[in-house]
Formats: sequence, structure tokens, C-alpha cells
Amino acid sequence: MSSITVGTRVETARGLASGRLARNVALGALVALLLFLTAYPLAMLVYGSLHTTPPGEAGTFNLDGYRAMLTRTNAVVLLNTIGLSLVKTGLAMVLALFLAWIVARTDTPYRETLEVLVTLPFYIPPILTAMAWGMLATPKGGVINLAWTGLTGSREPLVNIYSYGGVVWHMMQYSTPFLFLLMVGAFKSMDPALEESSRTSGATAFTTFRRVTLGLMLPVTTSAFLLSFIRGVESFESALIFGSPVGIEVITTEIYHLIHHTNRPDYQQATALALGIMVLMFLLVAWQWRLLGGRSFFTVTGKGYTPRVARLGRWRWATFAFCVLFFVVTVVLPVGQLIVSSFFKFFGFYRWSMVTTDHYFTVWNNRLVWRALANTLLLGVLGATATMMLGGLIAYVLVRTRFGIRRALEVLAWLPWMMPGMVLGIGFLWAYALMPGPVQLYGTLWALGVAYVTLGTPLAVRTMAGAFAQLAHDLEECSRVHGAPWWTTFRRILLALAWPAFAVGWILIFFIILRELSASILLYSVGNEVLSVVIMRLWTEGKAGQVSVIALVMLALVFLFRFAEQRFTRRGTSSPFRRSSPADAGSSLPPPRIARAKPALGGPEC
Amino acid sequence: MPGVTVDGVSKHFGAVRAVDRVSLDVADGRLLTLLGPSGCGKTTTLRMIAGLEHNDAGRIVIADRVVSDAAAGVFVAPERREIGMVFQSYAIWPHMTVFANVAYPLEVRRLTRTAVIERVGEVLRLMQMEHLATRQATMLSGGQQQRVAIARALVFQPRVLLMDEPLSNLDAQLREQMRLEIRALQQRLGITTVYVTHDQEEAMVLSDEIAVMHEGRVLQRADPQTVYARPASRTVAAFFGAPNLLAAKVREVRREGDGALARVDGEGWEGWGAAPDDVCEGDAVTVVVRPEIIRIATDAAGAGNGGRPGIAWRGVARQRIFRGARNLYTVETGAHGGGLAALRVTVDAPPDQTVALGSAVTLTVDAAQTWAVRD
Ligand SMILES: Nc1ncnc2c1ncn2[C@@H]1O[C@H](COP(=O)(O)OP(=O)(O)O)[C@@H](O)[C@H]1O
Ligand SMILES: [Mg+2]
Repeated sequence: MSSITVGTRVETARGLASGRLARNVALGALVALLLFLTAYPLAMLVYGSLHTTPPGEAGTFNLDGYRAMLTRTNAVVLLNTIGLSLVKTGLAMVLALFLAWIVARTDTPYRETLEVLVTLPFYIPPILTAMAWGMLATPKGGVINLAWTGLTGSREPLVNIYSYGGVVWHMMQYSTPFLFLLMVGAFKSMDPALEESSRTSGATAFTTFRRVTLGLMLPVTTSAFLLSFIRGVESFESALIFGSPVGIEVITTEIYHLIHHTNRPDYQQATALALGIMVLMFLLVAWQWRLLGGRSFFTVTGKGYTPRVARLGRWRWATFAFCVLFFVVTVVLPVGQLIVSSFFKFFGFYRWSMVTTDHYFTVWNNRLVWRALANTLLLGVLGATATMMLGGLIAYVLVRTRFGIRRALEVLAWLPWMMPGMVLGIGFLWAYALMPGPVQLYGTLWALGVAYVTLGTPLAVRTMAGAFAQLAHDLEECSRVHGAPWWTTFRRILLALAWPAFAVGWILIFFIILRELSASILLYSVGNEVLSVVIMRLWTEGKAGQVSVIALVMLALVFLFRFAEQRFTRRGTSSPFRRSSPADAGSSLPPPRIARAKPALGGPEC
Repeated sequence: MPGVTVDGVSKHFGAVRAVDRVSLDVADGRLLTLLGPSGCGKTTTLRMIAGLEHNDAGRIVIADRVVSDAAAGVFVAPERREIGMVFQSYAIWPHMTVFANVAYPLEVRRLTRTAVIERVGEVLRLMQMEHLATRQATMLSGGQQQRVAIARALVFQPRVLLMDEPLSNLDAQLREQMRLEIRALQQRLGITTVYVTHDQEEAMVLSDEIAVMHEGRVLQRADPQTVYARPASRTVAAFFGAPNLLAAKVREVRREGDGALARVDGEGWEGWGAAPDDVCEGDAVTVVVRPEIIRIATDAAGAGNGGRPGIAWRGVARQRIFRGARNLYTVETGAHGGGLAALRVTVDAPPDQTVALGSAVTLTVDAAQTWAVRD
């Protein structure tokens, strides 16, 4: 094939001046976009906390918002917030450690299935289980109490979900699988020699577990604890549904009530409180960073050890049963309750004569529900796509370039990580009210969309940065040299290789959007409702049957996407992510040096 | 002239001077090898030609087109330099088939589908990889990946081919085979090539010209024979095999034709050796004597120079290393009781020339086969 010859085209060099300009414009646009998404609403919080009237109205500036904050009630709110989160994190930690140990380090049967079951509650939107538990454990007519009074003849209900215990109980259902996910990997990848040498040194199995196993786990448990605690401080649903009706308020619900449940919405104080929680979050995160030496989470890299597995003998069925029980309580019971109440005419009256499909028809004929479903799906699909694309671009700049602007981008993209949805919601309320130029976002669906993209950005960046970091530079450079411009290379090489991570990140962000309540409830407008807002409204109107029907629809979506996600992660594990390309001598097949583009955890609320 | 010119190019990484004012030019259709120990700046030089690193100083011209000029602020992006490159790691895209890997450079150039299929088929046939076209790239052996990488670098008929230690990840046998194959391919296609290696043997087999690099600089640039037989410095000489480097002083210079002969005086020995033109009486030099050109004999008669000028040493065979095709002797010379430390000379002798250890031997070498370089 002598046709391959070196061309003799003579061409004058066109400098990279144009290329450099394009690059700087693109970088500038990226920074500007991030500034708008994160720094702008944050700055507007400061503005709003000083502004005497609601967003969009003329007013003056004073410190009333901060003065109003310093009350005894708010001191109790602060104590509630911290106390509830601390208690739920502690309890969930014990439970999660036990479950992780069962799944990773014992010979309990069907451990792989158990792992999937135990983590499933993490993916169910909290608002759904909140409604379900509201029906299961309410003193009047709750199934658990009905069964209790029926069985024992007692007149006193057994449990009351509307209490401190109820709030903790509901929060735990998310924290436990979340902590489990954070810690199970560390359990699995522990070098067995470390424990074996303890045993040969004369320590008993229990001493070894206490001194060596837990000792080795300490960095992971500490950071997981902190992360879960921080998430607890910014959580909203549990306290809103189980605390507020009996006067137990936390900061997020307090902010919400200041805007929605007072005669004249006190935006100034709400905004000041939002800034207050930001300060609290900032202190917590700073403390976390100090403790973990600049990392937000301590990860354990698997070395491919096969960990020691404890032989439990007959007890392995007990541990098996324990995991199943956890699954039943956190998933089967609430979902079962939703199914049951969707078919009964009135909540709490479970007789055959009351069975009906009316709720399904009512919901079917409800235009509002259809609109909300369409809005949720539209925002979910577009929002997840936009967020992942944005996250991918930012991650590229962070991981693959040496631009000076990198640091700024990193901080900007990380900011929403410590902004609770409620805080971001208020920030955007002010931001939209003061939008420069003719673009009006408030009153449109995009008011929500923009907030969702902001909320999802940290997770998207982390997911894509993790995936990009695993790809050898050669793969990218080779594409450039062989004629592909940057954008083509990004699409066809980097994104194509990081595709499983992209898909998983996409689904997780879709979940975030699907379950998002706190920012949505502040930013929606008539005609632009989303499902979580509609569910909340129907719940306050006491329409348990319709709530259940919609909840089941959302659950179906969750299970569908969770299933898809698992397919992707499995594909991800078998897809060739190599740090460096085949560099193995000889003619043997390259060994499966496969690193997973594992999505980072901790994105969704818990 | 579609060659490559590198003109005074430098590259710093922080305080590290990775490449220091390197100038090279490769004529059309020639193969230049950058040869040097690990870390001497070969890869960085190659990457600057490809446009993967910005040069701090100097100018790079590919096929009469200035692609990078630090002073003038010109920098052409890598994708617009029309270069084929084989990476050390091969950089085979693991999410694509063999066909897709090779087709990629054509696709990004927006060739029609039929043209792509035709070209890729041609190149795969050339690399004897046709039967693997549909194979996933991860399911290839090291040697096969190498062929795919070369096919991909050639498929769009680039002006210049760059190869960064393409054989370093292959086993010894395959390496020798591929060496010859790459050379044959390069000559058949007549493609201007810059090849990077740290393996001197590979460099000699493959190259039209070799540039020996050391600590970011080019020490010598010449054809393989010259670099081997007439190294420009002690460092260059030391890089090829394990020559005897003997310190000496020039006592007398006799210029003749295109070279010079110098009478050199070492520690306990003296004789005539070839030297560069500009060598002068009194210069301190290193005489490079390659082990394989030294004759070894137990009697003075068998070791004569037949009247030709040269050098002779007397000594005792101390050590023998059996190497299959050759015997490597270490001979201790210069211990004439003159208070001088023993001088060790290695001799690479054919297997039929066996010498008993401990016996007295005479070593001789022709002047033309030695080389005296100034320190
Ligand atoms: N990206 C980089 N950052 C910092 N130093 C580098 C980088 N690339 C190369 N170097 C340094 O430059 C020198 C030359 O490297 P290189 O060109 O890779 O050498 P070679 O390919 O000859 O082994 C080495 O000292 C190396 O450590
Ligand atoms: Mg190198």
C-alpha cells in the first residue's frame, strides 16, 4: 500500500490565538454559570436577611431579621436540630455497623441479595415513607396501634409517630442504609492479615474485632458519622411531618413556617435563619475537614483482599433474619401501607365493604397530578442531563487541566454541598426577584430547574471527576494528535469511557430531583407544581388515599431507575476502565486491571 | 520539504529543565531516533513536536509549516498538526473495537463511510490485523495492540510519524521482530519518523540518524555507524554497550586524509589511535576501545598488528564470563610493578578463542578501530 505517503501540503501556520480565545471564553462562561448557580443565591441571602420586605417589594434595610432570631424558641429549635440529628446518627451508626458486618464479614446466606435489600430504603423519597409511617403509626387508626389494641385489648396506643421518637425513627430509615453504603466497602477491603496477626498474638475474636477491626474502621466511621450528622441537620421532611404538628421544630421547618404559615410571611427573619444554618453547616464542614485532613470523606481503596469471614453456625440464620427484618420494616411495611390505603375508602377503616378503586380514578382525573407528573419528569430528565453535562465539564477542568481558575471552580461547584435545599430555595427566591435584565425565571418551571441543577452539581462533579481521574492521559492525547478537536475528544473518548459513571450519576441526580421537597415548596408557582409538592398539599388536606396512589407512582419510578442504575453499575464493573493502557509485556491478554467508576456517595439527602 | 525541524527548543517543568535548547532536523522520509537514558527528555521533546506540551523557547516546523514558535506566540493545536503518533502505552481506546480505533482519525476528518472502510481495511491488511477488525480492543495481546496503534497512526497518511518507545512493553523476541518490521514499513512508506528509545541496539537497527540525548540536551547527532564508532564524547561512548574507556594523553598527532592519528600515552601503555581532526598535542583524552574489536592471544606472535599502527597491552586473564556466542574476559594490565594501579580491560572474544585464566596474554587493536575523544 504505497499510497500512504507524507503529504506535501504547505500551509501557513494559523496561530492558536483563536483557539486560546475560544478556550478562555468557554472557561469564562463556565465560571459565570457557576457564579450564577451558587455564589449569587448565597450572596442574595445576605441581601435578603437585611431587607425588610418580601422579595420583589420595595423596602429598607435593617438588622431586624437577626434581632428576631435571638429568641428562646429559636434556641430550642437549634437544640432540636442538633439533638435529633445526633441521636438518629448514633442509633443508625450502630445499626449500620452491625448490618455492614453481617453482609461483609460473616457467612450469612444470600449476602449479596441482602446487601441490595438493606440499601433499598436509601432510594425511596423520604416524603413517601413519611406519609406511610404517618398512616402506620398514628395513635388514632394507625395499623400498628389498631393491631396492638385489637390484640391486647389495651385502650392506649402502642406508638405515636408524632413525637421526638417518631422523627428520629423516620430519619434513621435513611441514615442507616446511607451509613451502610459508606462503610461496607471498608469492611470488605480490609487486609485479613491485620486481623489474623491479632489472633496469632493471642487476642480473642471479640478483642480482635474491638481493637483491630473497629480501630481500622475508625477513620471511615468517623467521617461517615460526620457526613450523616450534617445531612441530618439539613433534613426537612421528617421534622415537617412528624415534628411540626406537635410543636417539635427544627431550623428547616422553622424557616418554612416563617414563610408559609404566618399571617404575613416574614422573609427577613427566614432568610436570616437560613444564613444561620449556613454558618452552622460551615462550622460543621470546617470541623470535618480538620478532622479528615482536608478531605470530605475518607475512602478505602480495595486491594482485592478476600476478607476473613466469621463462621456463625446456626446463628447465621438469625443474622439473615435480622437483615430481612430491617428490609421489612423500612420497605415492605411502608409500601404495603401505601398499597392498602390506596384501596380503602377512608383511612383507618379497614373493612371489606370499604375497598374501592375510587382513589385511582380521582387521581387519574386530577389535572393537577398529571401536570405535576409531567413537570417532575421533564425537570428530572432535563435537570439530570444538564447537571451531569455541567458536572462533566467542571470535573474535566478540575482533574485534567492546570488552569489557574481551577480552584475557584472547585469551590464554587462545592458550595451547594453545604447548602440545604431550604436555604438554596430562599436564596433563589431573592435571586429571581432581583434578576438583572428582562429574563424572568420566577413563575416558570425553570425557577425549579435552576435550583435542581445547583443542588445536583456537587454530586455530578464528584462522580465525573472520579471517573476521569481513572482514565490515562494518553487516551485523550492520542485522540487530539490524531485529529480530533477538544470537544470531539471530550465526547468520544472521555465521556464515552466514563459513560457508566455518567449514567449512574444521572440516575442519582434524577432521584434527588424526584424527591426534592424543601426548595421546591418555596420555588414552585401555580401551574408549575411538582409531584412532591402536590403530595404534600394533598396530605395536609387529609387525602390519604390519593396521596398513596401518587406515592405508588413515584415508587414505581424509583424502582425502575434503581433497577437501571444497578444494570449500569454492573456494566460499569465489567467495562474497561484502566488507569493506563495495556502496558503488559508479552502476548498474554492484559489482566483485568479494572477500576470502577464508582459514583460518590452522599449526594441524596438522608 | 515535508520534514521536521526543531530549532532551539526548551521545556521547563518548574525547576526541572527537561529539554534544553534542542535543535534537530529530520529530512523527508528519514527516521531519526532520540536515544538516551530514562529521564533525559526524549518523551518531552516528542510531545512538543506533537503539540502536547508547549515549548518555552524555540521553534518547531513540520512540513514547512511553523507549528510552534515560542517567541512569536504561534502554537498550532495537536489535532491540526497532521501527525501520527504511537504512544508508549499504545493508548488503545478500550471502549472501541479494533476497527473503530483505526477508523477514528478518519472519522474526525469527516471522510465518507466508504472511504473510511476502504482505508481502514488497507491499513489493517498492511499490519496483518484484518482478521481482528471486529475484536474489542481490550481483547488483544500486547503485540496486537501495538499493531493497532501503528495502524491508527498511519491510517490518515500523516506527514510525520512519532513513536515513543513503542517496543518497550513487548517481550524480547517480539521486540526484535517488530524492530525490523517497523523499519521495513517506514522505508516502504517513506514516512518521516521521529522515534524515541532508550535501547541503543534498537536505535542502531532502526535509524537513519541518531540523536543521543543526555540531561535535556543533544550530545551528538549522526548516523548509527558514526555514533557507534566515532562518539562525540565520553558520555555518548559510554551509552553504547560497555566500552573500555581508557584515560590517556596525546603525545603526537599525525593528520592524514579525513582524520587524524594520535600517539596516546596511558597508564602503563601507549600506542596509536584514531582521533578527531582538532585534537592537539598535550590534550587529555579518553580512548574508546570496544571489547569486541580487541584481539586476545597467549603468545606475542599471534597478537601482532601486522605493522599497522595500533595499541597493545600485556596482562593476565583474570575472569571469564561465558555468554554463549561469546566469551567475555577481564584482563588485568599495566601492573608492571611501576607503582601503578592495575588497569582492567574487557575483551569480548569469539568462543573458539579460549584462554586459560591466570595466563599471560597480549591484547592488540588497530588504531582505526579505536577512538580518542577529548574529555
Ligand atoms: N509533566 C511533567 N511534570 C514535571 N516534570 C516532568 C513532566 N514530564 C517530564 N518531566 C521531567 O522531565 C524530565 C524528562 O522527562 P521525559 O521527557 O519523560 O524523559 P524520557 O522520556 O527521556 O524518559 C524528567 O526529569 C521528568 O521527571
Ligand atoms: Mg519517555
